[in-house]
Amino acid sequence: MQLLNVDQLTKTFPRVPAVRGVSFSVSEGEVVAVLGPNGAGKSTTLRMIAGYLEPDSGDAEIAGFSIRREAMRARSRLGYLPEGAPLYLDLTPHAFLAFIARLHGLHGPAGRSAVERVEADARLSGVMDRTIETLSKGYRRRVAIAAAILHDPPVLVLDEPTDGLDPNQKVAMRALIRRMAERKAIVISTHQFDEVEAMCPRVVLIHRGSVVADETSAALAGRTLSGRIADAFHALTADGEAA
Amino acid sequence: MTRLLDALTAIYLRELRAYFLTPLAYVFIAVCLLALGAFTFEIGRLFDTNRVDLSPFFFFHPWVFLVFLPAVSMRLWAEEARGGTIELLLTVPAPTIALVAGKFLAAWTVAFATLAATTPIWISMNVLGAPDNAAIAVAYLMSLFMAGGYIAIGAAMSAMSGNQVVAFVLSASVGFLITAAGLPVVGSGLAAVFGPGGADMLAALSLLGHFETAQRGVLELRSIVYFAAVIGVFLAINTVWVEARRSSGASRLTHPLAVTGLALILFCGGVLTTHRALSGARLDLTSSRLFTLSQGTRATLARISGPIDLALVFSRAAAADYPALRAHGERVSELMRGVAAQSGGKVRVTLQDPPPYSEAEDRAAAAGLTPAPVEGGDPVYFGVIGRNSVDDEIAIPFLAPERDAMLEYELVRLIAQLDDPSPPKVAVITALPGQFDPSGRPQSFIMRELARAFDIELAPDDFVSLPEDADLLLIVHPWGLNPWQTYQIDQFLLRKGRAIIAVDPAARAVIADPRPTASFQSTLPGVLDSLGVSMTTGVTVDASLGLPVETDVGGGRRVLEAQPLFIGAPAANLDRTDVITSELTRPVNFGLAGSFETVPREGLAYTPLVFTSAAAARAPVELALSNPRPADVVRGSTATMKPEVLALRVSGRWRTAFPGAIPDPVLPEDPIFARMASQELQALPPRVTESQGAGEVVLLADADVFDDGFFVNPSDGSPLADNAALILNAVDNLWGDDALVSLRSRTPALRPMALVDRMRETARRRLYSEQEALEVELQSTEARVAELNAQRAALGGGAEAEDEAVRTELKRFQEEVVSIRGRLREVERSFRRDIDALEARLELVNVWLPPALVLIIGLFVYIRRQSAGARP
Repeated sequence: MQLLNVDQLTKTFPRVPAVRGVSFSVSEGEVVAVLGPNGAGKSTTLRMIAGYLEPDSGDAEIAGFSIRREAMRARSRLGYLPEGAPLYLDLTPHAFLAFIARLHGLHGPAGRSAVERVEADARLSGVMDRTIETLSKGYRRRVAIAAAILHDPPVLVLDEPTDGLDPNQKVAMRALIRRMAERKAIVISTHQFDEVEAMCPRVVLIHRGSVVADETSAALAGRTLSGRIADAFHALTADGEAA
Repeated sequence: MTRLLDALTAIYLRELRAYFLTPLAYVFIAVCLLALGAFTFEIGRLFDTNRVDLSPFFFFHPWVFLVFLPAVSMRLWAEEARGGTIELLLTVPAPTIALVAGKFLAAWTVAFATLAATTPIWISMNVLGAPDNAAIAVAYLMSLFMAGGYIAIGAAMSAMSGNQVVAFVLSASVGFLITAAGLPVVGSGLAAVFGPGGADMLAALSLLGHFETAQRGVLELRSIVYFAAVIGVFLAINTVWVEARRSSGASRLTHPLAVTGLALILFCGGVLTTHRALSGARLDLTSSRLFTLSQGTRATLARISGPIDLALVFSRAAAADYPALRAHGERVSELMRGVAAQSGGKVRVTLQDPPPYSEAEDRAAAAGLTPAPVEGGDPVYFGVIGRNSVDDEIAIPFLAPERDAMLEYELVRLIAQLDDPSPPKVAVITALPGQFDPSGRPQSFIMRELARAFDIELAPDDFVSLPEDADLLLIVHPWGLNPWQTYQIDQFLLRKGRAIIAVDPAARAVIADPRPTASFQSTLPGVLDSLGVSMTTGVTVDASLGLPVETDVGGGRRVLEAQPLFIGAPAANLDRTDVITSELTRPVNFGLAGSFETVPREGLAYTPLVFTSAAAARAPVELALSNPRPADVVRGSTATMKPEVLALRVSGRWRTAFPGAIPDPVLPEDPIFARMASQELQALPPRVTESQGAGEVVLLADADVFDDGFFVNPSDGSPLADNAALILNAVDNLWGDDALVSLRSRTPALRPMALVDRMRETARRRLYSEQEALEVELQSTEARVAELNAQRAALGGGAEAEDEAVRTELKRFQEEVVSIRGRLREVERSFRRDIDALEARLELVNVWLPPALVLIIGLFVYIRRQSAGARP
């Protein structure tokens, strides 16, 4: 079943690279990597899906709801981890998650059980009552992921979830994503190939605001003689460097 | 809807945490409290006003908020933008307006907490005296609304700029513009460019103007609408700017800018429209209902037959430079519209704005309007012309802003006069200096006020008859009347039964006159006897009601202290049921008054209108005339152990004071005048021996009640006490128009710091008694020293042992003299000590304590949070 259907999303900025007619779709149980060089339009695309940016044209459907016509319903079925995983540093994970739960309309027992669930899922139990500013980067990222899955959304959009983490933290984060993958459609943006290889059977390669490849990671790797995704990536996006 | 509320609650609680679980809010609140307290006490000098009136406190609210509230609101959106968390907020399924409202409400709660932390000052006022609590509550409420306005502006600027510093500067600037728009300096400057309409509009848009009405204790619907509009419009602008983050390119700026401009235009239009439309809708919460049409007005409007046309003539263009006139013009036209609405069509109101050098201006001048005394420029006409159905025309020549308290009275009087155009005639007999000028024109405040409403006729010194068409006789300090003239007064009283008589054991106005033409003492023996009333001998003294007078307390120090010879009878010492005195709010001042005693007579009823406290005493006239110190007055008088009557109403029927032979008339020496006088005598009505109808006479035991020196502010000519109101009420009441009586004294009572007054009184009393005791001791000791010195001199050189004994004693006494002198100085120093201590205590409680407490709470929260955060 297709849970996310991106259709010709377009966005122009005056000086920043734009997104021109990006389309792809993700089904339940699928983890898709949105890959591309820096500034290719990955984050802009994800931000449009999440509702933070308004597309100039095109649409996306989240669990069947249009992000333009049924924005509230679409957003309530989406878990979004923004780039850099912004958090309120003065709050404890507990207070932060309770706040996000309330924003989703989860309060009272429903809110408490949701927080308890993500506390377990994201392995946060030891740090729930410390202020976020005292937590390590790995824990902070887990808090942000916990906030994204708090309302148990069918679709997850994670913008560079492992960026800036040390290898151990990365392993933990990947394990967490893998645990969630079964029942959800997950989109991960990244420019790290090991990530793709480790987690994502499928890749959507974006370059200069357009999709230049949408295939399994194996197919993408197979495009070059070396059979490495890195080389395929380079071959497909090299002109960007020259510009 | 539930989604909106959920999100709003979530954001609200989150922002409250951000404010109150970090030191942020506490520091802001403490600084704000300190600024408010310091301004109130150090610049507003609240304590020195000696009034339990918080206007020095509220005066600073807009200015302190202007700086403090942008500091509170600047982080609301800028911090989200900086931390990137705005991306979280804008991707949750919650409408943006809910986020905007939640953040606004949280910052508003900080403002509420700040105002709540100032309540000690409100409590202090209640400890010190009896403040107008309803008015203070209105001011607090509107202050909270105003704070909401500043916060909405600040939040919008925070969303617009995305940077805290820029947000602070922007919101302080916008806040300043919207506040200062109401300042006269801005108003008159704009009036020069856009004409008076521009200045008026600007004032309607200004936060300050709306807050000022509230400070007076009037809850105006249009002000509530205005503040709600400020909050609503800026929250809308806020929402637009937050939403703009979703779009890209040029539209990210142009679109919200366009919406902001449109919203501001709609705001101005809406406020200006409602400002006019809602001008009458107000809840008057002042305790004296200053801004509500009174019962008397309604009674008069119900009574008249109409139609009456009132034209308010106001040269608005020329008045633009005079904010006081402009504001008063607004008030007058509002009141007139209110009167017209209440009259049910019987009174019609038009507004006229005569251009300079126009026919309309000439007509205004011809109708009797006098232009305001302005320097240069075009004349400012500001008066009312009234016309009735038979084209009688009466004008109020000029509506001076300082006569605001009399405004309603004058207007209603004008209406009553137009309805029945013949004013009652008052004949006046007086020997009191300063009442009329040499040509017979009214000179004193009371006589001028009487002349505004009544036809006043001053009887010449050698009158042989009183005007038969007079409705009422006013006698002030009668002196040098011959028996025939007294007989004429007796006859007038019996026939017409209406008089006000003021007699005086010692008239200050005469004593102060460098070339007195009358005795300081006056009485009207036969006439008073016929009314069953006698004047006591001596001057009535009341230490508890003494008016403050500057006196020398010795040692070259002068202090204000109560002079018991000058009595200020407050509302509590006025009859609260008699229509003459029941509506008076301020004291009536007496100077060297006598008092009345009555010999009850059949057919006569007596109502004491003004009386002293039970602590009254009587001082000999000689003492009263010697310009004594208050302490000497208290010492030199005899307690009467009962309240003394200073003013009295006598009602009923009485018999003539001249039952036997009629005195001979004294004709002028000039033959022509003598012939005229005898003609007058021919026309006299026949003699009567008893009242022709039920009579009403008001007696005053003091003529100085009429003296400007006792109740008129010399600097601006406004009355400081209700003397004039008492007399005019009496005239109206005796003449029969009670409706107007209730209108007269609507000036709010000054609310003194009663506690301070009591302390001052106690301190003064203690000072006197200690001073007196020490002075007696000092005298006897000094006498003893002198005696011993003489003894020593007498002993000469012999008797060593005896001389030694005398010397020792002399030394002892000399030391004692020094110590007594020291104690005397100490007593004088302690005079103000308690009051100074009270002031210091008040400042501590209101300026320093609230911010200190807030900071301590903040510190406590901070430390707790720190230790919680550090826990592994």
